[in-house]
Amino acid sequence: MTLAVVVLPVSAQDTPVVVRMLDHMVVQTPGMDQAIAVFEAAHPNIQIEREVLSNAGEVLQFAFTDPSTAPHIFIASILDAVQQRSLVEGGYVYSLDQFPDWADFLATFPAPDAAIAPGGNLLDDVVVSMKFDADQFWHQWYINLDLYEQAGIVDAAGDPIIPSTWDEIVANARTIAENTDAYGLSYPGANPGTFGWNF
Amino acid sequence: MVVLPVQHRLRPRGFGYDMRDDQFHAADNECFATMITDVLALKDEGVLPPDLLAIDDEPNRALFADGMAGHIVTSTWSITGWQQTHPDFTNYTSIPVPLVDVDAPAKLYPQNPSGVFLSISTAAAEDPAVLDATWEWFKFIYSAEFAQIWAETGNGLSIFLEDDPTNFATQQNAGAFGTSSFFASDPEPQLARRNPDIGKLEQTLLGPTEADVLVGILSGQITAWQAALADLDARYTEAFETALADAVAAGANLTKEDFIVRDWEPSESYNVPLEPGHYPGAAS
Repeated sequence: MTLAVVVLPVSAQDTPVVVRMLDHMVVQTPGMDQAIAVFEAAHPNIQIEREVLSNAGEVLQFAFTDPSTAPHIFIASILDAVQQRSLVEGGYVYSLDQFPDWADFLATFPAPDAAIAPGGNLLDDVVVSMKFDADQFWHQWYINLDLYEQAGIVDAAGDPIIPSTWDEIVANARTIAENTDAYGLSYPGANPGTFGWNF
Repeated sequence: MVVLPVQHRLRPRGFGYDMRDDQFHAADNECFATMITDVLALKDEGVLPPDLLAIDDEPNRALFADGMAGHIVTSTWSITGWQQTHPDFTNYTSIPVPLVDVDAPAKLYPQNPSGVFLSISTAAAEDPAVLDATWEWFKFIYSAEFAQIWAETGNGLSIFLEDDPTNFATQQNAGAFGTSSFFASDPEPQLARRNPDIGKLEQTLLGPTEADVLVGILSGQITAWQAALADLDARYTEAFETALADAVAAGANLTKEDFIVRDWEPSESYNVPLEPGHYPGAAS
């Protein structure tokens, strides 16, 4: 009797390849879960194990000493420049330009020239990371329209009058405090880092 | 031209630094003075919560969603959070950073570089199959398909989004989407393009940070706040001088001029594309 040994390609193996991911994007989890489901459906041989930690920045500084538990893909932008350089110098970052189709991948960026920043995501000839989200100013003022209506900050049609200047926000905050049971505005004073963003 | 409360983001020098004149301006920026004066007045009038210094990020967002605060500062990720914690709370909107002491905006510059950057670790390369799978997942995140999911689930815009971004604009995220008319198409001057050794500056501020100072002002622990901001400016200047000397001693090819952009006109684009061949994979 002759035995035939068949070596299955990775895509046909029963046990999926596990990709460990670590990031801090807690509230983005519904979107990430949806994306993972779509990806895994298209790649049944790959399983994404995503760990979400609000303190991912601290964890990442010590996450790579054991390759058997280290994340394979991670959020770099939560680390400051010194921390990222430390990971590069420690040999923990895989330079993305080593992938054979790197040039094709880079060419998919709307502005490849702007995608690489020496001293930013290119450190000592290591392509450390890439960005996928579009530029935006990260913070906005959020306005509770119920309180605007209760306070009478409305036009003739009863629609809230939306401010655009700091002086208008200050005036409207005073009106809300005077005409409702709510405070005019609030800051997260217990978190100096976040509070600083407000300025 | 007044350069805003957001000029503190002009890295790498620090809070209040204006790369055009090589000076720190936390103490003499009229925007900061206006906002600090007004916030202190609002605190005294009871317009702010009395326990403000005990309120952290999540309780602050809950205070707003519970109808106990008329305004807060946060970002689009809070919208997704409120959908989970306060699903019935929808009667709110957002505006871009308000104008301080001016009538019309000029430009907003994104922090440079800013955004969500992902990396792959050398741990993935321990197994070729894992490295291949990691790269496939990485490339998916940088795709139009992922961009669509990212935008539809309220996380903002991706540079790979093919649909018109305004299709995703809502009453709630108007502040993030409404900046496009005056949002700079390129970031603030990228100093590292002129000299990559910029990244070797490791600056350490001694003493309270700008956030600590601002909290101290709000708490009343700091009453002479103009002097505190002047001291912050002086400490940042000293921290930079020390960091520059240390970097040069360690072999960095840096001078003070590398951090100054005297000819930057903030209403105009400054950066120019890199020359071909300046980065791996660049078309030549």
